[in-house]
Amino acid sequence: MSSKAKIMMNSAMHYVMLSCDTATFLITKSDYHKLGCKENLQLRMHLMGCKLCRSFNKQNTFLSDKLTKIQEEPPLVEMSSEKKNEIEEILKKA
Amino acid sequence: MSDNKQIQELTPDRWVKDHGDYLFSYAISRISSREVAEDLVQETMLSAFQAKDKFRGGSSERTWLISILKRKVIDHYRKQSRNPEVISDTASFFYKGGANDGSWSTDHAPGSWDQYKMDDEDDGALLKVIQYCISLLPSKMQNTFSMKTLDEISTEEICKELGISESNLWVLLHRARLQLRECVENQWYKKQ
Repeated sequence: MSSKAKIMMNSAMHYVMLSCDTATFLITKSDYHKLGCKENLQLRMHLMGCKLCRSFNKQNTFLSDKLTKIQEEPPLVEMSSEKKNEIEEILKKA
Repeated sequence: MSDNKQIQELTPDRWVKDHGDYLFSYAISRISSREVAEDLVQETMLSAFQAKDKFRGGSSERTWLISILKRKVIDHYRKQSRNPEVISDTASFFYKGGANDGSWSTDHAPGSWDQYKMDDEDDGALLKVIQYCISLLPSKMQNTFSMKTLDEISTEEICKELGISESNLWVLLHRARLQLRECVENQWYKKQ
């Protein structure tokens, strides 16, 4: 490879190379917002070469799906009967 | 113009019976303390009772109560945000400096979940584990995460309510996702 090509390769690598720290940051960001063109490309490139971040991405997406379920219908938890009685008393007196 | 739409009437004497557990489940999914969640339900019903003349019947009784509770939850977050809390960064999850700078540290790297099959029956139990893991997050992180993820409140408003900067918010969300993933792996997948 010519030295000019090497320099171009190098700057291209710097353009696309993300750390796992930054890649998982972008994955988090993409849960809430659409990523910019450059961010999206950088993330795709990183994921191609990084098995751990691919796992993170997949598991995080899975969790996001479960979080939507919690948001739509929080699992039913019963309030203590003591508190229920207390509130009923307060409402009666109010 | 005739309007036959039935006007919703409030029935405060049935609130605890009809909506108590529902409101409590909503609160506990956003606030991990049972005691605080119960108190907020109580405050909600009392405020609603005092404001019952303002109920216009445009929404169901439950929706109306939830909207009051939602505001109470945010007020609670705001009060909590006055307590000083160090905002931790993602340091421990990734190597800092050296050749591996920014790569997953061995102790925190994601494991494989693929070998586990997920039945729909398991879903309820898994959701409980996820809620438990959210409850382990430090309060500022937990509140930011809940507001953004469960209530879809705008970044701008969260920053205003909790008195944090936008970059703090993203650090907290990033960290919350990393901790949540790891906690679910430890509490669910490694125990199967």
